[in-house]
Amino acid sequence: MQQYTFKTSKSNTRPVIRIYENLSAVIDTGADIPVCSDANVLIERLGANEISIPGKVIETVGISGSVRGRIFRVKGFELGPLIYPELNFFVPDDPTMSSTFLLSASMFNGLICEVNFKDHYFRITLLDDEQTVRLVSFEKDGEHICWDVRKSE
Amino acid sequence: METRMTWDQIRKKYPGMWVRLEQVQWETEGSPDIASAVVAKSTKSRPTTQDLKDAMDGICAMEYIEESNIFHTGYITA
Repeated sequence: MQQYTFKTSKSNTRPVIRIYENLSAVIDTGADIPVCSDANVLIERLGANEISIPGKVIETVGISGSVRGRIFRVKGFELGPLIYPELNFFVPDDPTMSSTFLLSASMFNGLICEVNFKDHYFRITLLDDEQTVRLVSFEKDGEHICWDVRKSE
Repeated sequence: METRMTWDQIRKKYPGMWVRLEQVQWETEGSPDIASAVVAKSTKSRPTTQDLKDAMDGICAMEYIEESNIFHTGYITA
């Protein structure tokens, strides 16, 4: 068994962690899709490619309604012990996020994750038969996005 | 002159704004909580790509100061 612990913010009611030195990311277990507020950061720093079709409307539906945006694929996104060889990020056309990244439930599908609001940490537990390499694929259904998460072989 | 401020002072002075923080002192190693910092820039609009890249490199931190009376999806009224 392997555990990896991120400290979470004491001053924020949401589980906010630090990634890539000083960027904040929210663990959003209500979200299906990882979100990034800035496409250029994904492209220029994380080597992402846009995979949404230009002109094709991509929408996600959240608590505040429908949001349009584009999809970018990052090769080799890492979070603690987890490696995502290909991870798709939704980038809203008009992001109004208070963190640069939202890390979605789909990224942690099948894992043991603990958000501790008392002692302020987010802990990922990998059992011995769990892979650190995680594949999160998606398919489009009309103009909406569906996600299918599977472990690597 | 650069003035170091505590996180509470920053939150009170820049509600509803993005701030570029330099010379950041974190509460503890690996913590996302800021003890104190120097505010290099504040803006109502979202951070520039360069600001975010600098944050990725540890040159600064970019933080949004949420207004205490605003929930994610609406306002609290008295």
